[in-house]
Amino acid sequence: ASVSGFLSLLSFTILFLAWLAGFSSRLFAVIRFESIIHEFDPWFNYRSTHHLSTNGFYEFLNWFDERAWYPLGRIVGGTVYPGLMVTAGLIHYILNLLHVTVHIRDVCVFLAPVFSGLTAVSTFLLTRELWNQGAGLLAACFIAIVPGYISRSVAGSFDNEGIAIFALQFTYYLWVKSVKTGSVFWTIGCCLSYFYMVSAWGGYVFIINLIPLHVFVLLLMQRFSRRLYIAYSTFYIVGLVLSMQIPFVGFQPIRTSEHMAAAGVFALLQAYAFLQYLKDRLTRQEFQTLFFLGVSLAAGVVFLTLTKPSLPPLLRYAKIHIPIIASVSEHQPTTWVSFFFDLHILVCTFPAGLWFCIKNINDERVFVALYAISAVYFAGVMVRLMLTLTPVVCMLSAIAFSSVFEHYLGDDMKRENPIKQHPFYPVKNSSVYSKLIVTMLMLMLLMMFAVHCTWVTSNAYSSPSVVLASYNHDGSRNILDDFREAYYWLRQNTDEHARVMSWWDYGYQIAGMANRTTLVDNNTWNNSHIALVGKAMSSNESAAYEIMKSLDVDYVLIIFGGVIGYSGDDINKFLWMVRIAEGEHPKDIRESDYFTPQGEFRVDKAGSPTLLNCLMYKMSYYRFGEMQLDFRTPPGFDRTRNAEIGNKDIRLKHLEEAFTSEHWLVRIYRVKKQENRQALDHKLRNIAAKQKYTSKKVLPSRFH
Amino acid sequence: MLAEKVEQMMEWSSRRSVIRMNGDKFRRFVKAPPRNYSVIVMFTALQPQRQCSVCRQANEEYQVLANSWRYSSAFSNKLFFTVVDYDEGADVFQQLNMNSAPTFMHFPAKGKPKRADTFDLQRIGFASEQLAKWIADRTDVQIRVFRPPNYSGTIALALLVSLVGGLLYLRRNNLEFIYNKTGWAMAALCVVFAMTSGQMWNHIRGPPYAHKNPQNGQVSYIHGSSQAQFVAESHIILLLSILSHKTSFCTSLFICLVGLGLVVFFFSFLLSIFRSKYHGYPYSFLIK
Repeated sequence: ASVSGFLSLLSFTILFLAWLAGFSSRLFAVIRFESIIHEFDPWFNYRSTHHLSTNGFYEFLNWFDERAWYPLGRIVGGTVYPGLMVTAGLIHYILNLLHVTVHIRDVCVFLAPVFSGLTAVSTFLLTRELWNQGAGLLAACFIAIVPGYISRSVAGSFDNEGIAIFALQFTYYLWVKSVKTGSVFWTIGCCLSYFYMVSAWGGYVFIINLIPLHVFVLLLMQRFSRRLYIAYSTFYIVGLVLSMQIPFVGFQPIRTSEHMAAAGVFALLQAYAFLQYLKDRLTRQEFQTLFFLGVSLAAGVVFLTLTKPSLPPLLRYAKIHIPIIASVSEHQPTTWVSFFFDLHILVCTFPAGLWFCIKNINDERVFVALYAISAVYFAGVMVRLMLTLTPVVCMLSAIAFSSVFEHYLGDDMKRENPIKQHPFYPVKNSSVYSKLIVTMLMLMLLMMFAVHCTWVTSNAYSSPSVVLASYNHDGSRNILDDFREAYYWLRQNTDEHARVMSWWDYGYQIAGMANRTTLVDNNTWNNSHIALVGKAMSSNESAAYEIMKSLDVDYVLIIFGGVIGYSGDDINKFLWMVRIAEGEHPKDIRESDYFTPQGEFRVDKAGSPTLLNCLMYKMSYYRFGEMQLDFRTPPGFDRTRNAEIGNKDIRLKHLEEAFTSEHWLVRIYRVKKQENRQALDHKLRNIAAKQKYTSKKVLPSRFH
Repeated sequence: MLAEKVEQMMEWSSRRSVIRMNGDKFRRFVKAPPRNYSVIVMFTALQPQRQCSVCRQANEEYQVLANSWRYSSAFSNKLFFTVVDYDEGADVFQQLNMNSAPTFMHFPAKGKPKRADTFDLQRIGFASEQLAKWIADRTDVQIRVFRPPNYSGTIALALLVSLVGGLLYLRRNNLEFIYNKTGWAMAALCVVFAMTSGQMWNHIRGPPYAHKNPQNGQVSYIHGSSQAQFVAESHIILLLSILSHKTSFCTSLFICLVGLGLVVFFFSFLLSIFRSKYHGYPYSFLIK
């Protein structure tokens, strides 16, 4: 039997198993609850995909959504990355063509797990190019189950990252292949993959900066070659033209500073190649190499000073000055616990892989080293970017493990030059015992890794967050389905063109599940509009009514967690509403008004009167003062804030309660129309007693 | 009478942006009528024996603000910046029942200072921009804070570049050290270790080094929750990662086994620290 046949069968089986493992480990939420779309953003993606599958591609591309951001509307076609919707829509279309009638929702829910398998395959291909087949298989297995990637690609999380990581890895694989071979075929493949990445995720900026950086560092290292020149020149031009086909990207690649590095390196490469061409034609001294080096460095410094500072310092500036960006918890820096939680032993072993890569350097290993360093810096600054670190950590750890296994499990007789291949490992043959111990240890570490990943996936990353579940002490499960109950009430009991005002977190869910027009949603593109809503929530009822009248609001929806102790409710988010409103209307709303004189935020009797009379407070605690949750606490005891509310006798003048869900989690109020007759302020008129005046005129004689 | 006072205040403020006041001056120029100008007073204690580091920092921000006002185009005789030090005007502190420093108060031209005329330092901090916003709120005078450009960063960068350039020039005949792969590998590994042990978090959030529990005097180096960390903690992790790496590069069989043992030990230690932060994590290796 041929060895290579057996080898490819083994690789195929392992990759298939990795795909299966990745797919199954993402299904916890579907098995525990049901196949629904999770969180907030995926609901918008689902709604767009639904629109695409019912109305066609061109309708989707030119879609103007007047049911969002009332009365402004939103140009969806131009403000969204269409890759995700088009992928799901295409799969749905093909399946239905083959008469496999799948609902679009199921396609959306299971898209991310399927693509995780594809990511494993592309990681295998990439690592095989960088090191060898064994490392590739290990990398595929790692990335199939690593929590850092699972967190954004569980079944039900229908979001851009699910397909973007696949596109990223595949683009990098094709780039490495094109640098290795220098053929235009592979480069055009890379450009097409890059086009797919641009259509899928805003993180394509990472690719368009990493690849030029790679080229630049290769130039600095004197590794210029014709392959590099062909690869990058083709990639830059064709990639640029393709990326500008996406409406959302538009002309950004030739205008914004994030793309200038690519242009700069392109120009530099042309200059370098030209000088190289001249050098071949004419005789020069060795002094020329230093000249090349100096020119490269000078050009690099020049365009670095011309372009604006890189993303993280910009993010920090934005965080201080724009409260909305600061309020998203994913934009915080990363603690070491997050690294360990998401990556377990991989984060400990990947520096070893990095070491091996740098010691045995060649063109493509420069690429992976740069990828690792830049990704680790960005992940250290912002938690959300841990996702871009995960693939490279998997690859480098796989390289490290592969080297260890190869050394200890490889056949000593067959190895010709052990010294040359592994400069760090012992020269003499290790005994069988040490090999056994080391191998056992490595296997144990890998098993612990797998167990940790499964535990993390099951406990931390598998909650749909639309449905809440709590577990009693006997282990039975208590499901709180208030959100869906309220959204379906809205869907069935309100007019089709009714407008719902809520805080921006719930906009996408209301639009997706209740199918009603919303004022603000998670897109947060218009800060002033959000500030208006915030102002309405933080003012007293009459002032808020004026704002609601001007925005044609019919219903107001709030989240209240005081009955069950849910800490993500609107009163806990209230200070952010105030801050955002204060940013736009500093004369009307002042954050200090909502605190007690000692500077505390309290909802009980000692709370500030402005807070106790604002619309959000009244809506949250309406009728709550009569409710006694258990006999140990007084009526009106808020379980989330652990305080008895201060204002129990709440009367609403312009609103009336329309719906409260089972556990009081979602409360919907109807805005009453203005009364027909308004009582005017008036005083009784005082009629001063006048002197009687009798007219002395005499009627003409005719009338006698 | 009023014109004299205003002229005196203008003269003082032309010499120094922040007018220093003792008890008498304070009573005459800030409390006593007639007055048609607003006064911002910083009550502080800047003497070294008072050991008030916050007062010193707030003083710097206050100076920046007062200078911005003095050299701005909107400068008028309607607003003055003054300071009262505890050691020069203790009677003022007593009179106003003030027992904490620093405190910023606004004395309006007409009437008594209200509750909002005391700056809420605890909640807002003492940055010049926040002070300027508060002043704009109370007096309708907009001050654009102008911080003198800080050249220390540029000078440091220039120094570094010249140092590197000089080094390269001196060793221009022997540039071999750039090609030394070990050096580059070490540098890359340093960056990676720094990031993954949470140094950026420390840099951005500025946590304390360790926490001393006031009740039993025990110093804890590891923060109790999973959301925060101490500087000490990140250093421990850094050390553990480096040590577990160095032990995997061994040169003889015996050291290899010892290295393995160390790797196992350090990994268990890491896991136990992780468990102490994530209560509910069920797995441990050797150490509970």
